[in-house]
Amino acid sequence: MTAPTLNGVEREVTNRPLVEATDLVKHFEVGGGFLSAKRPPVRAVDGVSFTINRGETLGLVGESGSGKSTLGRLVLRLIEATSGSVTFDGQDVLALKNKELIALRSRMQLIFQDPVSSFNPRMTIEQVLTEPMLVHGVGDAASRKARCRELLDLVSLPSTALARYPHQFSGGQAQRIGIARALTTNPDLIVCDEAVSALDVSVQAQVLNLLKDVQKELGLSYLFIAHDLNVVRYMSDRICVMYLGRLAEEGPSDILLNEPLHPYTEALVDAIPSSDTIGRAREPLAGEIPNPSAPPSGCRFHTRCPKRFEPCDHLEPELITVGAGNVSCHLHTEQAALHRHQDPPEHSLHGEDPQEGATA
Amino acid sequence: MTSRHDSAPLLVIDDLHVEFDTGGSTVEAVSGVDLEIRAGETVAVVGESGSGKSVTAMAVLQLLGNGRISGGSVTWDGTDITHASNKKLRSIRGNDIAVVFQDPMTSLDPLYSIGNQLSEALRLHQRMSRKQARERAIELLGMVGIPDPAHKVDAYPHQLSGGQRQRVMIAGALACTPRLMIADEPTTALDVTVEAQVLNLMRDLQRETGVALMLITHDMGVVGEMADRVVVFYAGYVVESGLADDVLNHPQHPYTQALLTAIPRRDTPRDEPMPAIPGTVPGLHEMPAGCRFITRCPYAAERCSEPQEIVRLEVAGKQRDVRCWRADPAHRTSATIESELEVL
Amino acid sequence: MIAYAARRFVYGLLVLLIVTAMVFITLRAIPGDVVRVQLADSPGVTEEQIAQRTAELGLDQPVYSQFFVFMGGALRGDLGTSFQDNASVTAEILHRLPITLELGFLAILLGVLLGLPLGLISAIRKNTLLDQFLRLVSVVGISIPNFWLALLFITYLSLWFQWSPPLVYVGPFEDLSQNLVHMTLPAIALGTAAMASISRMLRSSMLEVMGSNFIRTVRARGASEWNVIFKHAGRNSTIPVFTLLGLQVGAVLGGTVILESIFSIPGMGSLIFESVQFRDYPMVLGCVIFYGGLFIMVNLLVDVAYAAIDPRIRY
Ligand SMILES: Nc1ncnc2c1ncn2[C@@H]1O[C@H](COP(=O)(O)OP(=O)(O)OP(=O)(O)O)[C@@H](O)[C@H]1O
Ligand SMILES: Nc1ncnc2c1ncn2[C@@H]1O[C@H](COP(=O)(O)OP(=O)(O)OP(=O)(O)O)[C@@H](O)[C@H]1O
Ligand code: SF4
Ligand SMILES: [Mg+2]
Ligand SMILES: [Mg+2]
Repeated sequence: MTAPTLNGVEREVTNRPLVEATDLVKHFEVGGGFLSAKRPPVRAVDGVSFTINRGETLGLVGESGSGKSTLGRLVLRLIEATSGSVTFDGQDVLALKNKELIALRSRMQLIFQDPVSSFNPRMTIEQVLTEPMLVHGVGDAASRKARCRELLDLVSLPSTALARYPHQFSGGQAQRIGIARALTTNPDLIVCDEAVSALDVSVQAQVLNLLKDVQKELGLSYLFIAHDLNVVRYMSDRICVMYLGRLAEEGPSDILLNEPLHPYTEALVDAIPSSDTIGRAREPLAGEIPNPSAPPSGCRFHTRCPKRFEPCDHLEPELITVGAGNVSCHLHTEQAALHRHQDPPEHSLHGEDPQEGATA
Repeated sequence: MTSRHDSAPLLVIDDLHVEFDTGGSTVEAVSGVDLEIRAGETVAVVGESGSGKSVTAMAVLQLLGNGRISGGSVTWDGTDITHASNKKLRSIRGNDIAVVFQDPMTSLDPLYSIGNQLSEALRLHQRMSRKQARERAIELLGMVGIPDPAHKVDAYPHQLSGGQRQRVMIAGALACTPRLMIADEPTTALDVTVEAQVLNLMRDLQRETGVALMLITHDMGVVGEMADRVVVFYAGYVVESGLADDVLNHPQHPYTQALLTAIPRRDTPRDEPMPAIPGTVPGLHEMPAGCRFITRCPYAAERCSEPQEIVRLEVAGKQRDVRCWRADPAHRTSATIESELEVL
Repeated sequence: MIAYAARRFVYGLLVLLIVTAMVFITLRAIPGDVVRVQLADSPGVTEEQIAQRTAELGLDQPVYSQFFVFMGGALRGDLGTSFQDNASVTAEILHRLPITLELGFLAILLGVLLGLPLGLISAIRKNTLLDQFLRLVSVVGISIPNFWLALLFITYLSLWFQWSPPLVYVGPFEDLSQNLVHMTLPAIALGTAAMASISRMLRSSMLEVMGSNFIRTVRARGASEWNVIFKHAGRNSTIPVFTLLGLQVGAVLGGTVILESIFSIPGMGSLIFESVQFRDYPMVLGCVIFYGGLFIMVNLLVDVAYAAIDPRIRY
C-alpha cells in the first residue's frame, strides 16, 4: 500500500513543505525486560503521513494515548521510528548521522507541557537560555548575552529574569522562558506538546498571543499538540485528528470542526465543553478504548463508532481526499466510490490504486 | 440541591493561611481562604496560576512539604484537624479524603508497577489480600477507561501516556471510595472524549456514594458542567464565590469578568489576539496592601488601595461573596457605573 | 539484557587489553635494569651472566614482540613466570586472590552496612544535631587516607593495648576468629571511605527523592512513614548509590596494595607491592589484569542491578 498523498495537487504549485512525514510507524516493545515475557508491541503510531508548510500551524488532536506525543518526538527524532520517513526542508531526518542531526536539531525545537521540570533547577535563566547556543556553537559570550536579552524581550519578560532560577517563576512565566529557550537557535519548527495545557486561561491567552506574534515575526511553523479543541482551532491552519496511532481526518481547522467528516471527529466536536452548556452532561463515546497492542480489525474506530456499517469491521478504510481535507472512513469511501461509478469495477472498495486519493 | 446546602458541611476551611520557607525568608502563599464543602456537593476552584489553589488543597491533608499552616483552621466532619496527629491524618488520607495531584507525569513512583501502587491504599485501609487488591486495581483501571487493564496493571508509569497516568491517579483516588475527593486539575492531560468519560464517572460515583468533590480546574466548561458552586481565587485569597451558573453568567468581581473573556471559544476570531488580562500576578513578596488585583484591574480607583473585605450580596436571589468594594450596592453610585460603561 | 551483558563483557575485555598494554609498556619504561637490580647483591657477577639472564627472561627482544609473547600465553591462562623464583604467576595469584577478595568484601560490606543506615538517619533527621554530626563524620571519613588511618590504628593499639597485628596470616577456614582478628582493622581502614561516601550519597539522593511529587502521592494515600521511606524513597535513592559502589570497589582494590603490606596480609596487594619493588614485570602485570578484571566484573554486576531495580532501564 502506498502512502496517501496529502494536498497532492497543491504541492506542485506551492513550494515544498517544511516537514513531510510519510507512513511513520513507531512500535514500542513492552515486557521482555528483566525476567519477564515479551508481549506484542504497543503500536503507538501506525502509519501516519502529514505535511507542515512554512509559517503554518498544524494542530494535532486525538484521544489520550493515540500517539500524539510519540508522533511529535518522531518528527524531532527524539526517538527512533520503526519505519517510515520524515523529511525536514528536503533532508531525510531519519537517515541523518549524529553530527548532522545535532545541526538539524537547532532548527527544530520542542516545548513541553511542564516547562519547570524540563529546566535544570540549578541553572539560572541565562544559563538555560545560553545552553542551546553553546551546544550549537552560536556566537561569542557577549552576543549570546545580547541574544538572551532580546529573547526575553520578545517573550515580554524583564532582563532581570536572567539571573533568577526556574522555580522563581510562575507557570506562565516559566512557559514563556520555555518558548524563549526554544527560540534561541532560530528554529523553523517548534513542536508544542501540550504547551498551554497546564496554564490557567488568562496566562494561556497571553502565551497563545505570544506564540502567534512570534510566528508572524519569524515565520515559524508549529506542530501544535493539545486537547482543547477551541485552543487548537484558534491556533491552527490545519488540524490532524489521530485515533489509535492512525490519522482519522485532516483538514483546514474551521471546516474540520464545523463539518467534521469522520465519526470520531464528530464525537470530539460534540464533546467540547463550554460554559454555555451549564449542567449538561456530555455524551461520551460509548465503549472501551481499544488496546493499542492489538488494535481492532478493519476501521480502528469501529468498536465505538455510532455509524458503523457493513465493511467497517473487516476492511481498513484508506485516507482519501474529500473536499479540502482527507478522511479515513468508509462512509466517505462509499461516497467516493459512488461518484466514481463509471470507473472500472475493480477500482472500488479495495483501493489499491495509488492515484485514488488524488483523483477523488 | 437545596437539601444539600442544609446538611452540615463535611469540610470547612476557615481563614486559612499557609507559609513556605524559601531559603531564609518565608512567603505567604495562602492568605485567608474560606471554603466549605458539603456531602455530595461539587465545588469548583478556579483562578490564576499561583493563586494558592493547590496549596489550599494540600493544606487540607497537611501535605505541604516545607510549608505549614500559619493561621486559620481546617475542620473535617466536625473535628478540627489543623493540629491532628500524624496517625489521625493517615487514617483520613486516602481513606476519607483522596487527592488527585496536578502533575501526573511525576506523581507516580517510577520504580513500581501501577498495580502495585494502586494496591497500596487498598491493602492499607481495606485490609485486602495481595490478590484481592490486584483484582480491584484492574477493576479500577477499567473504570477510568484504561484499555486492556489486565495487562496495563503491570505496566510502569513510563510506559503510559500522560492521560493514562492521570487516569491512574484518579483510579488511585477512587480506590477506597472516599467521602471527599480533591481533584487538582484532573482532566488537564485528557482529550475531550476521555475527559467527558472521566467526568461522567465522577458524577456516577457521586450519585452512588455521595462523595463530595473539590474540583480545581481552569476549564470553565468543566466548571459549568460539574460544579454546584464555584470559588474564584486570585493571589492567595478568594475574590468571588457563589452558585456556578450565576458566577459564570453574571460575574461580579473584575477578575472573574476578565477571566471569563480570556477563554478561547468556538467562534473566537483566529486573526485577532485573545483578550488576555495584561500584566502578571504580583509576586508573593510584593503583594499590594489593598486589593490584590489592583495592578491589573481596569476599574482600579483610590478605594482599591485599602484592604478589601468580602461583600456578601444577593445576585438574582442567590448568595454571592465578592471581594471588591464596587460590588457593594451602597457604593454603586452613578459615578462608578459611568466609569464601568466607559471601559465597556 | 543478555545481549547487553555480553556486549558490555566484550567491551570490558577490550578495556582490559588496553590497560594491560599500557602497563606493559610503562613497566618497560621505568629506569633501571631488572637483571642488574636482581643481581646487584650477588658479588662477582659478570657481564656475560647478566646478558645470559636477560636473554633467559626474553628481555633482549623488542617490546612489541615481548608483548605478543606475553599475550599469547595470557590467552592460554599462562601469565608467565615470576622473575624472582620462576614460579607460575597464575598459580601464585590464584593462591593469593581469595585473601584479597575476603579483605575487599569485608571492607565493602562494612561500607554498605554502616553507610546506608547512617545516610538514611542523616536524611530522615535532616538538619538536626545528629545529622550535622554524621555529616562531619562522612567528610572526615572521605578525606582521611586509608593508610594513615591504618597507621593510626596500629600505633595507638600498640601504645594503649600493646596489641599489634599478627605477623602470620591464618585462613578463615583454618581459624575464623583469628582470621577476623587479623582482617578487621584493615577492613575498617579500607571501608571507611566507602562508608562515608555511601552515606553522603544516600543522604543527598534521599532528600531529593523525599521532596518529589510521587512521595507526596504515597503520603496522600495514608501510607506509613515506614512505607514511604523504605519502599518508595529508599529504592529510588539507592540508584545513584549503586554507581558509587562500583567506583568504590575500585578504590578499595587500590587500597589493598598498601594496607595488605602494612598489616602483613599475604594477598594480591602485598604481592603487587613486592613485585614492583623487585621489578617482577610478569607478576605486576598479572596482578593488574586480575584487578582490572575484578573491577570490570563488579561494574557489570552494577549495571545488571540497575536493570533489576529500575524498570525504565532496558538494554
Ligand atoms: N516508552 C514506551 N513504552 C511502551 N509504550 C509506550 C511508551 N511510550 C508511549 N507508549 C504507549 O504509546 C501510546 C501512545 O503514547 P503517546 O504518549 O504518544 O500518547 P498521546 O497521544 O501523547 O497521549 P496523551 O494525550 O495522553 O499525552 C500509549 O498507548 C502509550 O501507552
Ligand atoms: N514548596 C513551595 N515553596 C515555596 N513556595 C511555594 C511552594 N509551593 C507553592 N508555592 C507558592 O505558593 C503559591 C501558590 O501555589 P499553588 O501551587 O497553590 O498555585 P495554583 O493556584 O495551584 O496554581 P496553578 O494553577 O498554576 O496550579 C505560588 O506562588 C507558589 O510559588
Ligand atoms: S469507517 Fe465505519 S467504523 Fe470507521 S468511523 Fe467510519 S463509519 Fe465508523
Ligand atoms: Mg502526550
Ligand atoms: Mg495548582
